[in-house]
Amino acid sequence: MLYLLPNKLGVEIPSTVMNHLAPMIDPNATILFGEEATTENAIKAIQELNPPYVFTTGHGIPCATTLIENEPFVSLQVPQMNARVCDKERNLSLFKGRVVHIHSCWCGKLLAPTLVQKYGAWAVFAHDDEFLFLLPKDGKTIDLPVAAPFLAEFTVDISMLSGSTAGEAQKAREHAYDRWIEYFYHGEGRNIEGASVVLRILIADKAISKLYGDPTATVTKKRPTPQAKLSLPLEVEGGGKGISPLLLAIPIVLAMFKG
Amino acid sequence: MAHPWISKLNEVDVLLRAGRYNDALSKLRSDPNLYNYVVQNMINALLNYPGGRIADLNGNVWSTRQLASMLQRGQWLPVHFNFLMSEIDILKRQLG
Repeated sequence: MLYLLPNKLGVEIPSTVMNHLAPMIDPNATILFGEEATTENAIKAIQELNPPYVFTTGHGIPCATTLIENEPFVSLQVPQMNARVCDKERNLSLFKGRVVHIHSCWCGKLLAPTLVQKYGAWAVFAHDDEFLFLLPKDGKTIDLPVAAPFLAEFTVDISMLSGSTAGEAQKAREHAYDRWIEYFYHGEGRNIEGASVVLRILIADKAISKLYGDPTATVTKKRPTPQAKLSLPLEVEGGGKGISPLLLAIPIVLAMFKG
Repeated sequence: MAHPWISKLNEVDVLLRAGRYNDALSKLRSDPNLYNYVVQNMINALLNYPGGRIADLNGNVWSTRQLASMLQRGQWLPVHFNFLMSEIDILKRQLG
């Protein structure tokens, strides 16, 4: 399977977590991390490896998702939404016949269902609003409250890689969110600093995390669910300052989708 | 018998999930007691994590203090609506 993990401009934490998780759940993982996560490399890897499953994270708006340095990766042509990223169609058939986890904000609004309905993606896991998380207080330490939303979300990948159907993986994802919510609401985590906020983040993230496409889609034969115990805390890998050009699109996006 | 707030919370929740955020806020504000209760809970939760920062995958970052003080002034950012949806979920659990 293929994992596209850019590590700048706000996706350092999910990429760090998945960079540690993927080898545990997928002995054949091909990981393009950091500067390797370019559109050119992603296309080349998909063409050469023909992976049935692709995980990608990056910035997202309803019509596009990006990779390292905000490079457009997959986009619909909706220039009125974002003239830079959605100026033209890009790589829309890349996911034909595959299951994809697009871990970016907003792509569930338009891109994910379009990939399924018009471009033959078998199933797509995506978010139809902003995916929220806590930042480390010291800027670098990924502890439990910081990691929790990603640990819940990446249950999708653990589940798919153990041979579940997409529908089963979606149920596992929702169940994982519920368990983390309970942990920070009434469980042992309720006294951890930040519990009141991460609890609300988890509820919000669960509500926006959807499955599009065929719930019977699978990417591998059934096998025991791999043991995937991350050793926390992790240290953020990567980083880099800069203002995302996509931020300029936010008011437009909001005008279109937020009442 | 269900708590009288439940039906209003359900209506607000439906509007939020449909992306009709302004309508959801108007509906919530139509019951000032409920609005004040919900918003105060949101503020308290945010202030319970002083120095905390919340981010999204697009690189937007907000401090918990900033988000709380905006709510105190009646100012709503899009991210506040994500938290409103969560707050309604929590309140519905509490009210049964």
